[in-house]
Amino acid sequence: MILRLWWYLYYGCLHRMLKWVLRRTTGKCELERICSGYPSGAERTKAVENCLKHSRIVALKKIVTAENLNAVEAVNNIIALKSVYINRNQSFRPDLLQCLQQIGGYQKLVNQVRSLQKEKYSATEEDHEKQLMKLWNLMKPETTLERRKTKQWGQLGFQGDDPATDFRGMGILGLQNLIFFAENYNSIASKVLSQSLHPKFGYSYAVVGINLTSLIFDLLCKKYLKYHFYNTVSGEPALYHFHRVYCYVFCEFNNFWLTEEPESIMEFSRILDKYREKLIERLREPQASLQNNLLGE
Amino acid sequence: MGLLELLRKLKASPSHEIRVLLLGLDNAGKTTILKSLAGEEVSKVTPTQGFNIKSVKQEKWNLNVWDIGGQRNIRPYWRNYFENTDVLIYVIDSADRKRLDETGLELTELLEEEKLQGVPLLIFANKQDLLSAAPPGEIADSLGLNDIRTRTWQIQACSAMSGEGLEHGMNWVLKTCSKPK
Repeated sequence: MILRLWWYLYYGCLHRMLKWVLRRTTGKCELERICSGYPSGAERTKAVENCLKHSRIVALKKIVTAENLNAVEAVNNIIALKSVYINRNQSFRPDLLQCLQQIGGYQKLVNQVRSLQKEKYSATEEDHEKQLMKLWNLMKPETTLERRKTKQWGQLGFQGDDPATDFRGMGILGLQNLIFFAENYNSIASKVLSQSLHPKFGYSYAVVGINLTSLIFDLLCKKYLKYHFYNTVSGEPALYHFHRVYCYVFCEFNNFWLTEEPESIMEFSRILDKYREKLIERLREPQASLQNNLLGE
Repeated sequence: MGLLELLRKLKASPSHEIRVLLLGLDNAGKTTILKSLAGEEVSKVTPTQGFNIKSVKQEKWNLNVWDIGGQRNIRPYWRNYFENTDVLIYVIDSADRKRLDETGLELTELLEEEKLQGVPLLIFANKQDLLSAAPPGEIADSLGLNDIRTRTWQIQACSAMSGEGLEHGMNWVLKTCSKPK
């Protein structure tokens, strides 16, 4: 209650008074102060986002929630609205542009990923079938698939003889993540697949892979991947970056699973929940960055 | 009776708890039914690795619903969850006619299990929204339900995606559980 009152008081009037005083004394608007005060990355972009969100000018407020933001245009508008002396502060334009590309790009990425999730796998869709075969050929180049519907799919960790039913709620997104992993980190994906066949600590590779798509899809929609993208992608984050998060998470979860030494596959939900908690904890840090030697980079 | 024993007894018999076991082949729709019962979104379901559990409040009852994965290599673990089951719900993909025999065999084996003797059985003939779905009568024949003599059972047509038929089925569960045993 007290916190809420303080919040209201602060943003309702104290914050504005402070801004006014700072503007008079430094000759810079708040966005300028942020851009020069923070290093590029999540801290700066987050501060810009926060500043825009609390702006009294509706046009600026809208930038944060825009579905299809034109970052260049938005920067020009801000410079005009706030009468920024660009000649005095040369780095302001590119710095702010980067922040707005990151902010707007995240929203675009959410929409793009959502539409792939909504696209149901359909066996009558030639392109879907092609992609499915591509996955098989990437993961099992030495084995020919006898038929389209066959028990062989079990070797990749699908449940039955037709993978189509396993994509379910994750749609084509689930398939594309698996393909990206197999195509770009082939040896790592093969190693994870072979570890998933462990007689005691084994699990179903494709099914777990689809569950991990569900995990990061949820994190993306709940905005948990913001700091990671702000820190690691200097412009708009693209589908490619989302796929890379997937590869990272698949490797890391695989290691986590093995070190947990589960009694059986029945421990999957418990261990996945535990992993999720740990991952979220890290993603909340302003310096969050899901990059290290897991993918050999 | 000692205090400890009394406490234990009180704890052991919370009269309104019902343990429901949700079984069936993979892709039958068990998790979608579970989510629908819990009032959650059903459009983002993924295949179950292991199991899910949710507590669902319905009237004065607290249903603890155990949804166990239906994949072939998970089925051997089903038996670990039989103990103290009040109701068995067996879910069938009515549109998957090719596997009606397989699902029938699994059900027959389940009904022979000692720990499930006498446990009431509800069959959800799911995916009735699909054009190719077999009607519940045909499924009942295929499963030989009419030969069941040792337990009460019911077959209910439903669509977990739309929620249609689920309430009917669950009402039967509650009614059956409130009868004195």
